[in-house]
Amino acid sequence: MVATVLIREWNGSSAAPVQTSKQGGTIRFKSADNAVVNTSSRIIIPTLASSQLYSFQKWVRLEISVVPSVDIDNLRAYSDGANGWGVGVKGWYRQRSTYATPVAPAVANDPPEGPGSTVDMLDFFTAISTAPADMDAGISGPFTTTGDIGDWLVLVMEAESSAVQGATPTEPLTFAYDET
Amino acid sequence: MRIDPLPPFEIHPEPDGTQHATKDNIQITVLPDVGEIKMFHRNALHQSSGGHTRWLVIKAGDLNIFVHGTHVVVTKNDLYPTIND
Repeated sequence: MVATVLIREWNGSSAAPVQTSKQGGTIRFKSADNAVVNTSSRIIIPTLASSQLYSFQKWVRLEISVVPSVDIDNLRAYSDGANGWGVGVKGWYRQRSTYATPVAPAVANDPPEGPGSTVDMLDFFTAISTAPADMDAGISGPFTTTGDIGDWLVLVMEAESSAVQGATPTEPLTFAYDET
Repeated sequence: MRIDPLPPFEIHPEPDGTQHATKDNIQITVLPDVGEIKMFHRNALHQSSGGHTRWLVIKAGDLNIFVHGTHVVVTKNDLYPTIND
């Protein structure tokens, strides 16, 4: 049997998280914790030249909805390697094996830290198909049953003072997995 | 009934270690003299477009063979599908 795997965004408290399928949907970075794709809670461009503001974290994870014949493993995530968001807009990521309520990183730190640590987040556009982010280093496979699998990919968008007002272009996010 | 838009290869191991992967009119056979053989499918979910790429991957000895449609890549590197694949 061929597996069905979904990409889902997680929002809400760690005690009662809410998952929303984002397979083919937009993950909208905003200054609020929800999966709604609208123009509310926009990220503000800072006026001070040396400062930056961050979106709330986006927590994204894979889920098996139809099991494979044998198993799924080797989860990876990557960008296309080219930041098409424009000048003054950056993307950051980290993998986590425990969910926490999404927050905006502290603006005192550039690059942003966390989540849940003082470790710098990494440039999302350095995670590419030839050097993808390892998404099952914490919660490792092989995965054989329905349910959430692997680690969370935590993403943050940064706006610097040089950013241009308006919606940014869509950037591709790819999750890969091996199936037997 | 669920119709898979990306039908996978059927993978058949034989007792002597030979492995076959077949789909439509394509048959790939890997003989055991190459060393350890592993066949599986590598999937890529392209989040924003909703696209799905599925490759057949054959790890034979120290070579990796990636099969996507009529395109076959043989390399020692480990490749992952991009949104253009």
